[in-house]
Amino acid sequence: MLLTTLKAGLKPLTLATGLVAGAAFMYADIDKYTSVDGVISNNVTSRYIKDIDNAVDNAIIEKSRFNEYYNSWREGTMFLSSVESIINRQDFKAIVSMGMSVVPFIIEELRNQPSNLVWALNMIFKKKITDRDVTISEACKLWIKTLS
Amino acid sequence: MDKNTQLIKEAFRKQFPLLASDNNFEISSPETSDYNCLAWALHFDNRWMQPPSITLPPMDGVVYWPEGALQGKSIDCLVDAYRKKGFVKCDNSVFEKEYQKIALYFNPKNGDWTHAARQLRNGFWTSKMGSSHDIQHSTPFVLEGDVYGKVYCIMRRPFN
Repeated sequence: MLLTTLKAGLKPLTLATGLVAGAAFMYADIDKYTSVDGVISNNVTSRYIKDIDNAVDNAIIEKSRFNEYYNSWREGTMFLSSVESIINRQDFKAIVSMGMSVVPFIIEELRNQPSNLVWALNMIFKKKITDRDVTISEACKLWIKTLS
Repeated sequence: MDKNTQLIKEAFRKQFPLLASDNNFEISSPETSDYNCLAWALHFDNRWMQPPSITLPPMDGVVYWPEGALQGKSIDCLVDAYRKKGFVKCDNSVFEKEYQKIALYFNPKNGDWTHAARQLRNGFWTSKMGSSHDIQHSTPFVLEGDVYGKVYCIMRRPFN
């Protein structure tokens, strides 16, 4: 009796496992984690796919690093009024030290909400966007226009 | 009060626990990074007020410090900056209809300025909270705590 119940419970699990395994097999030739070199005989195609995979991976990793630093910085500086205290934090410095690779993420954030994150652009490009006196919101718009 | 405002107020009370007992605490502006508390104490809503000498790289939107005022992180520099704009120290935060009052805050551990608040004509106080919202509060002292430290002094100047 117990054996029958167990069997019945395992049946859907076995089916699901089979489906997942089948899908993995189907996509084996475009997934670098399943030794793509061994599956695709054309070296150029293989290298091309590998490069794309790596580029996508790097972008995801960079974006996730940025999000981590940005959220920590935003939370830690939300109520501060001293520019020095706001920019002399490890999380802000980490964003700036990511250099040009972080610029698209900053622009994306500024598009969503203009903020003093724009100061990271001042530090990466070592300049103000204009010599005129503008508000942070106006400066964000100018940066977005210039870098888009 | 909508749910969002309620959540914002709760977030403020977490950082500034004394606001929990302030019945006149209100969120009084949208969130904006366009100005800081020091500028807001002088009625500016389009700039960050910061001594140029301690802002190392060129920064967008950081454009103002009263001419001739001492520059630095020390609370004395902030007092001097508002003195240049006609404020003098006074001994209390009680509303006087002829005077506009401001409160300056500092970190007692290192003597650095941290915040400024301005009294409104209704006797309540207004503060721009960093790059967050403006708030209204009953007294300057309800913002004392870990974030802004202590009220260092009250200053006043005649209303225009």
